[in-house]
Amino acid sequence: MIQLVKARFTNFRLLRDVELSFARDAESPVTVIRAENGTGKTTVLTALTWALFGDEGIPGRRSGFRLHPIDWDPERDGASCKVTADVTFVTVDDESGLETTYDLIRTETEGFVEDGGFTIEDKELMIFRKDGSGDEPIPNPTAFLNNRVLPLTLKDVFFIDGDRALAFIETTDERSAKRDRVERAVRQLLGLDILESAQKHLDQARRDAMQAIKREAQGTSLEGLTDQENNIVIEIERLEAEKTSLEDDRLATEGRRRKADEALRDALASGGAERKSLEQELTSTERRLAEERRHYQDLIAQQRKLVNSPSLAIAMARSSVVKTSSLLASLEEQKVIPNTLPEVVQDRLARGTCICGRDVSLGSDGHTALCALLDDSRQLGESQEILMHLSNVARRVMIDSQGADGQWADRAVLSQTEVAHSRKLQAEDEKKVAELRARVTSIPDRDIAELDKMCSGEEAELSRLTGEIARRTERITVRSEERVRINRQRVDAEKKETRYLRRLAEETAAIDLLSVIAGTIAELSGETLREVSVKMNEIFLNMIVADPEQAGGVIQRAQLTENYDIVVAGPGGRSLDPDRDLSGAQRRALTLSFILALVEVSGVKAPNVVDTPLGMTSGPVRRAVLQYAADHSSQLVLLLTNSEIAGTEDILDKYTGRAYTLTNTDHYPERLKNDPETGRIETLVCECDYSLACRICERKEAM
Amino acid sequence: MSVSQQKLLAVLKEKVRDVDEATRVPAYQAQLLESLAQIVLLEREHLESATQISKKVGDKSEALGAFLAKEGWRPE
Repeated sequence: MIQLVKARFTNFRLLRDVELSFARDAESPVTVIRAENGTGKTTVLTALTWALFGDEGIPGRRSGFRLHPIDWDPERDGASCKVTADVTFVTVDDESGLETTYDLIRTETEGFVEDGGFTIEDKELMIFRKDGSGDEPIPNPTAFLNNRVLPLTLKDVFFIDGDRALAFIETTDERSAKRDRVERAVRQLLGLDILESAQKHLDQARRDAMQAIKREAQGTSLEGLTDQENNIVIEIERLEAEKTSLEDDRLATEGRRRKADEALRDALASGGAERKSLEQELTSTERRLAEERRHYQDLIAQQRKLVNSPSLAIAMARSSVVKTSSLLASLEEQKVIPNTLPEVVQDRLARGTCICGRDVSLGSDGHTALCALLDDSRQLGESQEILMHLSNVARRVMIDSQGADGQWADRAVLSQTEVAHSRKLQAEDEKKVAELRARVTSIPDRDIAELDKMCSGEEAELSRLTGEIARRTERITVRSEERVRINRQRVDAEKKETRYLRRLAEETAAIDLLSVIAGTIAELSGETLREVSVKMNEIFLNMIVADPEQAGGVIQRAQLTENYDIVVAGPGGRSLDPDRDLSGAQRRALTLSFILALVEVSGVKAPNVVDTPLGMTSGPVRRAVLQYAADHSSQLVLLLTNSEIAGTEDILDKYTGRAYTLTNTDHYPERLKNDPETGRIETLVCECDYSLACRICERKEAM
Repeated sequence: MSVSQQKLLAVLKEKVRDVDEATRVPAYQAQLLESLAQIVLLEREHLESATQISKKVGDKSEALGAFLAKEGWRPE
């Protein structure tokens, strides 16, 4: 709730220096400002709206509306005129009742030009919050006024020029213009414009959220990535377990290998190495002995062959052999022994050449001769055959021994030497083998090979285990890197899903806001509009019910339609034209009914400042209008003429908390009894109520 | 707001109660009403002087969505 406390105007048109305080008491909420026409009622109303709304608070364009007094003389009063409105008001919290006082000071300075015009030189608005510790300036006072005190949109509802207010119903304008005014008033007071604007902006927010949802909904599903990561985690855990097991195995294997190594070292240290070495030497010696034996056999064979050679006869009995050979050759010459050598002949016949080189090939004379010799030799006796055999042998020995007389002996000696050497080597090796066997036998038999094998086995196992561990480590590394990648993707997806959910929440919030606003608009423009209509009808009928002219019940109902038309129905529901079928009082009552109903239904509590509300009214209607307005206003400032006041004094007595009388000095001497003696045209204020008159306000005509 | 639009706020409050809090989050109705009051104030400020009203209202709507999300709301 807002209430006016006081207002002081300086140099605002007629209000050169006027100060007014306003009634605020709930039982006496009415301030009566009595003033005759041309005295300053409308100026007070305008001064208040200018103070609260600035240029928007004055009728028409600011450039055409002077604020300074009309008789301001730049030479006498100053080259410029500083106009000031100082309004103190309070805001009261509806729930807590906490009251805050503000002091509003609006100033504008107008300069003057030669043609009688004016310029606006300076403008300023300041608002101070007043508390026990001092005045605190309000930043951005214009916004504060509009947003926190009294929106501009409500100006025409709470600051009413009675004549102008009739525009809601009078047909001086097009029907659509009236409807627009009513609609604007309703929509402003109920906040429909604001709601519809919010609806538009929220719908945009909803569309934005939907677009964002579409964007965020694309991409890899979080579920799939989570499964992938979980599978990798499971695999890594399995690999880690396997690795741990393998490492345990390797540890155990290393232990076994150490033990085997130690056992091997022990075995070797306790003679195993010597035995092994001896065994190797024994094997080597045995192998060498075997080879030597085979060599010996070869030597013996060669020696045997040498002994069987014909050269031996020459070497052993050369002279006897030569002598025998000569003897036998002599016998052959004597033909005692056929000089035939069947074997030699046969051999030469086969070769085709004789020993002497003669041709003995088939068909040759030599061949024929040799064949004859062979035939003769087959005719010999036994003694001759023996002699012939001896002759042949002797001849062969002689042939074979030619040029090799000394070789056989050398070869025999060499062979004998080699045989002897071989036997010596064999004997040495045999002896060594015997010694080695004896020594090997004397050393305890430890299974070095087995230990060696064991060590090798453990080493191989270690190698295998190390490989397995390396493979798992590598696999773990690969999968861990993969997990990091998937995790990053999952985190991104989670963020995306979070953003997606956030967008869904934003869309839901926008939908809820829109839903509430749509419902509120529907309620306000439907049910609430009907409520205003019902209330307006109630007030209107209440205001005019005592009018004797309506005794016949001509006016049945006033209604605010869904199209924002204010219509009045007569008997049988017949539509009445407010302009033609209603009296001036009824039209004013209808207008005020609409405004009061609208204010009451809207629940807005602000000062109702009404200029000439009872004009054109009389009797019961006037009283009813005043009564209802006083009853249903949180603060009511009435700017009344004496004629309006007439007949309502008892009601005013009941509700009036403050009363003033305005006097225009320019009305002296025509209408004022006493000279105000101010020497200028201005409005003077006295505290005379509607029943009193003082030297300032006393008028020549009856009050 | 000193000159509160009582009727407007009363109807907003009534309509907010129609929003099923069980399908949203606890204290959502209060938050929703507060958001609406702020949006009404922003719209009124916008009437006085040009502001980035679309963004400001969008921000309020987003803030309400953020409240929903923060309080663990999940779509049904």
